[in-house]
Amino acid sequence: MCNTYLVLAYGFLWCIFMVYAGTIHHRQQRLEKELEELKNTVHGQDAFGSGNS
Amino acid sequence: MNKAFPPPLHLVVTLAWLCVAGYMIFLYAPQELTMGEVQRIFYIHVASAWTALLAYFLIFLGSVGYLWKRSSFADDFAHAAGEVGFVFCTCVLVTGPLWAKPVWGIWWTWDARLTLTFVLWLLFVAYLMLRSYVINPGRAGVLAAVVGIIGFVDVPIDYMAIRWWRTQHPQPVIAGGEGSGLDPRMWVTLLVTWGALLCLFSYLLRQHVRLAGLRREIAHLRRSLGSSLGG
Repeated sequence: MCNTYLVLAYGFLWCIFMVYAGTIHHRQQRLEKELEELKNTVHGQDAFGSGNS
Repeated sequence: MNKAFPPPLHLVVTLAWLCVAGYMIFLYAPQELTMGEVQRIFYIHVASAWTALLAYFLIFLGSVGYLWKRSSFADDFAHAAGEVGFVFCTCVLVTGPLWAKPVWGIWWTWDARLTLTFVLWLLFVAYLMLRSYVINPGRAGVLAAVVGIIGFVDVPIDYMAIRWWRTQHPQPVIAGGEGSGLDPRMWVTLLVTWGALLCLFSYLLRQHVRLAGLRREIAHLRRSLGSSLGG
Protein backbone atom coordinates (compact mmCIF):
# COMPACT_ATOMS: atom_id res chain seq x y z
CA MET A 1 0.00 0.00 0.00
CA CYS A 2 2.62 2.53 1.08
CA ASN A 3 4.72 3.33 -1.98
CA THR A 4 8.20 4.76 -1.30
CA TYR A 5 8.23 6.91 -4.45
CA LEU A 6 4.80 8.33 -3.63
CA VAL A 7 5.87 9.18 -0.08
CA LEU A 8 9.10 10.77 -1.35
CA ALA A 9 7.25 12.89 -3.94
CA TYR A 10 4.65 14.23 -1.51
CA GLY A 11 7.22 14.58 1.28
CA PHE A 12 9.48 16.62 -0.98
CA LEU A 13 6.62 18.87 -2.07
CA TRP A 14 5.53 19.47 1.51
CA CYS A 15 9.11 20.24 2.65
CA ILE A 16 10.01 22.58 -0.21
CA PHE A 17 6.88 24.70 0.25
CA MET A 18 7.26 24.82 4.04
CA VAL A 19 10.89 25.92 3.71
CA TYR A 20 10.14 28.46 0.97
CA ALA A 21 7.17 29.99 2.85
CA GLY A 22 9.40 30.10 5.95
CA THR A 23 12.18 31.97 4.11
CA ILE A 24 9.69 34.54 2.73
CA HIS A 25 8.27 35.07 6.24
CA HIS A 26 11.78 35.41 7.67
CA ARG A 27 12.82 37.95 4.98
CA GLN A 28 9.62 39.94 5.58
CA GLN A 29 10.25 40.12 9.31
CA ARG A 30 13.86 41.24 8.77
CA LEU A 31 12.82 43.96 6.30
CA GLU A 32 9.96 45.16 8.53
CA LYS A 33 12.40 45.49 11.42
CA GLU A 34 14.87 47.37 9.22
CA LEU A 35 12.10 49.68 7.98
CA GLU A 36 10.97 50.38 11.53
CA GLU A 37 14.52 51.27 12.57
CA LEU A 38 14.96 53.56 9.57
CA LYS A 39 11.63 55.28 10.26
CA ASN A 40 12.69 55.87 13.87
CA THR A 41 15.99 57.34 12.65
CA VAL A 42 14.19 59.66 10.18
CA HIS A 43 11.69 60.77 12.84
CA GLY A 44 14.51 61.34 15.30
CA GLN A 45 16.33 63.43 12.73
CA ASP A 46 13.17 65.42 11.94
CA ALA A 47 12.61 66.11 15.64
CA PHE A 48 16.26 67.20 16.00
CA GLY A 49 15.94 69.44 12.90
CA SER A 50 12.74 71.12 14.11
CA GLY A 51 14.26 71.54 17.60
CA ASN A 52 17.24 73.38 16.10
CA SER A 53 15.09 75.70 14.04
CA MET B 1 -7.18 43.13 -2.17
CA ASN B 2 -5.43 43.23 1.21
CA LYS B 3 -8.59 44.42 3.00
CA ALA B 4 -11.04 42.13 1.22
CA PHE B 5 -8.80 39.06 1.37
CA PRO B 6 -6.00 39.58 3.93
CA PRO B 7 -2.91 37.32 3.75
CA PRO B 8 -3.75 35.32 6.95
CA LEU B 9 -7.17 34.45 5.51
CA HIS B 10 -5.52 33.59 2.19
CA LEU B 11 -3.16 31.24 4.04
CA VAL B 12 -6.03 29.54 5.91
CA VAL B 13 -7.99 29.06 2.65
CA THR B 14 -4.84 27.66 0.98
CA LEU B 15 -4.18 25.16 3.79
CA ALA B 16 -7.84 24.06 3.85
CA TRP B 17 -7.84 23.63 0.06
CA LEU B 18 -4.60 21.62 0.23
CA CYS B 19 -6.21 19.33 2.85
CA VAL B 20 -9.22 18.76 0.57
CA ALA B 21 -6.85 18.04 -2.35
CA GLY B 22 -4.90 15.58 -0.18
CA TYR B 23 -8.13 13.80 0.78
CA MET B 24 -9.19 13.56 -2.86
CA ILE B 25 -5.79 12.36 -4.09
CA PHE B 26 -5.45 9.56 -1.53
CA LEU B 27 -9.04 8.59 -0.75
CA TYR B 28 -11.42 9.81 -3.47
CA ALA B 29 -9.52 9.24 -6.74
CA PRO B 30 -9.58 5.63 -7.96
CA GLN B 31 -6.38 3.60 -8.18
CA GLU B 32 -4.98 3.35 -11.71
CA LEU B 33 -4.96 -0.25 -12.93
CA THR B 34 -1.50 -0.62 -14.50
CA MET B 35 0.65 1.75 -12.42
CA GLY B 36 -1.07 1.31 -9.06
CA GLU B 37 -0.52 3.66 -6.11
CA VAL B 38 2.46 5.48 -7.63
CA GLN B 39 0.18 7.01 -10.30
CA ARG B 40 -1.12 9.36 -7.57
CA ILE B 41 2.05 11.42 -8.15
CA PHE B 42 0.30 12.47 -11.39
CA TYR B 43 -1.93 15.00 -9.57
CA ILE B 44 0.86 17.10 -8.07
CA HIS B 45 3.21 16.57 -11.01
CA VAL B 46 0.74 17.86 -13.63
CA ALA B 47 -0.67 20.61 -11.39
CA SER B 48 2.87 21.85 -10.56
CA ALA B 49 3.80 21.80 -14.26
CA TRP B 50 0.75 23.86 -15.26
CA THR B 51 1.50 26.33 -12.45
CA ALA B 52 5.17 26.63 -13.53
CA LEU B 53 4.07 27.37 -17.12
CA LEU B 54 1.59 29.94 -15.82
CA ALA B 55 4.37 31.50 -13.71
CA TYR B 56 6.55 31.96 -16.77
CA PHE B 57 3.60 33.50 -18.60
CA LEU B 58 3.26 35.98 -15.72
CA ILE B 59 7.00 36.77 -15.98
CA PHE B 60 6.39 37.48 -19.66
CA LEU B 61 3.44 39.81 -18.88
CA GLY B 62 5.35 41.59 -16.09
CA SER B 63 8.42 41.97 -18.32
CA VAL B 64 6.39 43.48 -21.17
CA GLY B 65 4.69 45.80 -18.65
CA TYR B 66 8.02 46.88 -17.23
CA LEU B 67 9.68 47.55 -20.59
CA TRP B 68 6.61 49.32 -21.90
CA LYS B 69 5.51 51.45 -18.93
CA ARG B 70 8.59 51.20 -16.65
CA SER B 71 6.14 50.23 -13.92
CA SER B 72 7.93 49.14 -10.74
CA PHE B 73 4.90 47.01 -9.81
CA ALA B 74 5.20 45.07 -13.11
CA ASP B 75 8.90 44.51 -12.34
CA ASP B 76 8.15 43.31 -8.79
CA PHE B 77 5.36 41.09 -10.10
CA ALA B 78 7.64 39.48 -12.71
CA HIS B 79 10.38 38.95 -10.11
CA ALA B 80 7.91 37.33 -7.70
CA ALA B 81 6.51 35.08 -10.46
CA GLY B 82 10.11 34.09 -11.31
CA GLU B 83 11.00 33.03 -7.79
CA VAL B 84 7.75 31.22 -6.99
CA GLY B 85 7.68 29.67 -10.48
CA PHE B 86 11.20 28.35 -9.93
CA VAL B 87 9.97 26.46 -6.83
CA PHE B 88 7.08 24.91 -8.78
CA CYS B 89 9.33 23.99 -11.72
CA THR B 90 11.74 22.31 -9.27
CA CYS B 91 8.78 20.28 -7.96
CA VAL B 92 8.03 19.14 -11.53
CA LEU B 93 11.64 18.04 -12.07
CA VAL B 94 11.71 16.13 -8.76
CA THR B 95 8.27 14.47 -8.86
CA GLY B 96 8.73 13.49 -12.55
CA PRO B 97 11.74 11.20 -12.01
CA LEU B 98 10.13 9.82 -8.81
CA TRP B 99 7.20 8.73 -10.97
CA ALA B 100 9.34 7.67 -13.96
CA LYS B 101 11.63 5.28 -12.07
CA PRO B 102 8.98 2.73 -11.01
CA VAL B 103 6.98 3.09 -14.26
CA TRP B 104 9.68 3.40 -16.99
CA GLY B 105 12.56 1.84 -15.06
CA ILE B 106 14.72 4.97 -15.55
CA TRP B 107 14.97 8.26 -13.67
CA TRP B 108 15.48 10.49 -16.69
CA THR B 109 15.77 10.54 -20.47
CA TRP B 110 16.58 13.44 -22.78
CA ASP B 111 13.32 13.39 -24.74
CA ALA B 112 11.62 16.57 -26.03
CA ARG B 113 9.23 17.19 -23.11
CA LEU B 114 11.74 16.47 -20.35
CA THR B 115 14.52 18.47 -22.03
CA LEU B 116 12.25 21.47 -22.65
CA THR B 117 11.08 21.41 -19.03
CA PHE B 118 14.71 21.32 -17.92
CA VAL B 119 15.37 24.32 -20.23
CA LEU B 120 12.42 26.09 -18.58
CA TRP B 121 14.01 25.46 -15.15
CA LEU B 122 17.33 26.85 -16.46
CA LEU B 123 15.46 29.94 -17.71
CA PHE B 124 14.03 30.48 -14.22
CA VAL B 125 17.57 30.12 -12.80
CA ALA B 126 19.02 32.56 -15.38
CA TYR B 127 16.24 35.05 -14.66
CA LEU B 128 16.83 34.94 -10.91
CA MET B 129 20.64 35.05 -11.28
CA LEU B 130 20.37 38.20 -13.40
CA ARG B 131 18.21 39.81 -10.74
CA SER B 132 20.69 38.89 -8.00
CA TYR B 133 24.04 39.60 -9.62
CA VAL B 134 23.45 42.80 -11.60
CA ILE B 135 24.02 45.54 -9.03
CA ASN B 136 22.17 48.42 -10.73
CA PRO B 137 18.44 47.70 -10.04
CA GLY B 138 17.22 49.47 -13.22
CA ARG B 139 19.68 47.56 -15.40
CA ALA B 140 18.82 44.27 -13.65
CA GLY B 141 15.12 44.91 -14.32
CA VAL B 142 15.71 45.57 -18.04
CA LEU B 143 18.03 42.58 -18.56
CA ALA B 144 15.72 40.24 -16.63
CA ALA B 145 12.73 41.50 -18.64
CA VAL B 146 14.57 40.71 -21.89
CA VAL B 147 15.30 37.15 -20.64
CA GLY B 148 11.67 36.87 -19.48
CA ILE B 149 10.35 37.80 -22.92
CA ILE B 150 12.80 35.77 -25.04
CA GLY B 151 12.57 32.74 -22.72
CA PHE B 152 8.79 32.65 -23.08
CA VAL B 153 9.31 30.99 -26.48
CA ASP B 154 10.04 27.78 -24.52
CA VAL B 155 6.59 27.70 -22.86
CA PRO B 156 4.29 26.89 -25.84
CA ILE B 157 6.89 24.51 -27.33
CA ASP B 158 7.18 22.70 -23.98
CA TYR B 159 3.38 22.44 -23.73
CA MET B 160 3.02 21.17 -27.31
CA ALA B 161 6.08 18.86 -27.28
CA ILE B 162 4.10 15.69 -26.51
CA ARG B 163 1.59 16.57 -29.24
CA TRP B 164 4.19 17.35 -31.91
CA TRP B 165 6.69 14.55 -31.28
CA ARG B 166 6.51 10.95 -30.10
CA THR B 167 8.39 10.98 -26.81
CA GLN B 168 9.08 8.75 -23.82
CA HIS B 169 6.78 11.04 -21.84
CA PRO B 170 3.13 9.83 -21.99
CA GLN B 171 0.92 11.36 -24.66
CA PRO B 172 -1.56 13.96 -23.32
CA VAL B 173 -4.56 12.62 -21.41
CA ILE B 174 -6.11 16.08 -21.32
CA ALA B 175 -7.05 17.78 -24.60
CA GLY B 176 -5.12 15.07 -26.37
CA GLY B 177 -7.73 14.18 -28.98
CA GLU B 178 -9.40 10.82 -29.57
CA GLY B 179 -8.46 7.94 -27.30
CA SER B 180 -7.22 10.22 -24.54
CA GLY B 181 -9.11 10.89 -21.36
CA LEU B 182 -9.37 10.51 -17.63
CA ASP B 183 -11.80 8.90 -15.22
CA PRO B 184 -14.23 11.68 -14.11
CA ARG B 185 -13.10 11.29 -10.47
CA MET B 186 -9.47 11.66 -11.55
CA TRP B 187 -10.44 14.78 -13.51
CA VAL B 188 -12.13 16.38 -10.50
CA THR B 189 -9.18 15.47 -8.27
CA LEU B 190 -6.71 17.00 -10.74
CA LEU B 191 -8.72 20.23 -10.97
CA VAL B 192 -9.10 20.50 -7.18
CA THR B 193 -5.34 19.89 -6.75
CA TRP B 194 -4.49 22.50 -9.37
CA GLY B 195 -6.86 24.94 -7.64
CA ALA B 196 -5.09 24.31 -4.33
CA LEU B 197 -1.65 24.84 -5.91
CA LEU B 198 -2.89 28.03 -7.64
CA CYS B 199 -4.12 29.30 -4.28
CA LEU B 200 -0.70 28.52 -2.78
CA PHE B 201 1.03 30.12 -5.76
CA SER B 202 -1.01 33.34 -5.45
CA TYR B 203 -0.35 33.46 -1.67
CA LEU B 204 3.43 33.13 -2.17
CA LEU B 205 3.31 35.60 -5.07
CA ARG B 206 1.61 38.34 -3.07
CA GLN B 207 3.94 37.77 -0.12
CA HIS B 208 6.91 38.14 -2.47
CA VAL B 209 5.46 41.32 -4.02
CA ARG B 210 5.10 42.69 -0.49
CA LEU B 211 8.81 41.90 0.11
CA ALA B 212 9.70 43.96 -2.96
CA GLY B 213 7.49 46.82 -1.71
CA LEU B 214 9.30 46.79 1.65
CA ARG B 215 12.68 46.84 -0.14
CA ARG B 216 11.64 49.85 -2.20
CA GLU B 217 10.39 51.69 0.88
CA ILE B 218 13.69 51.02 2.67
CA ALA B 219 15.72 52.20 -0.32
CA HIS B 220 13.58 55.37 -0.54
CA LEU B 221 14.06 56.12 3.17
CA ARG B 222 17.81 55.49 2.90
CA ARG B 223 18.05 57.91 -0.02
CA SER B 224 16.10 60.61 1.79
CA LEU B 225 18.17 60.04 4.93
CA GLY B 226 21.40 60.21 2.91
CA SER B 227 20.35 63.41 1.11
CA SER B 228 19.27 65.09 4.34
CA LEU B 229 22.60 64.18 5.98
CA GLY B 230 24.47 65.31 2.87
CA GLY B 231 22.50 68.58 2.73
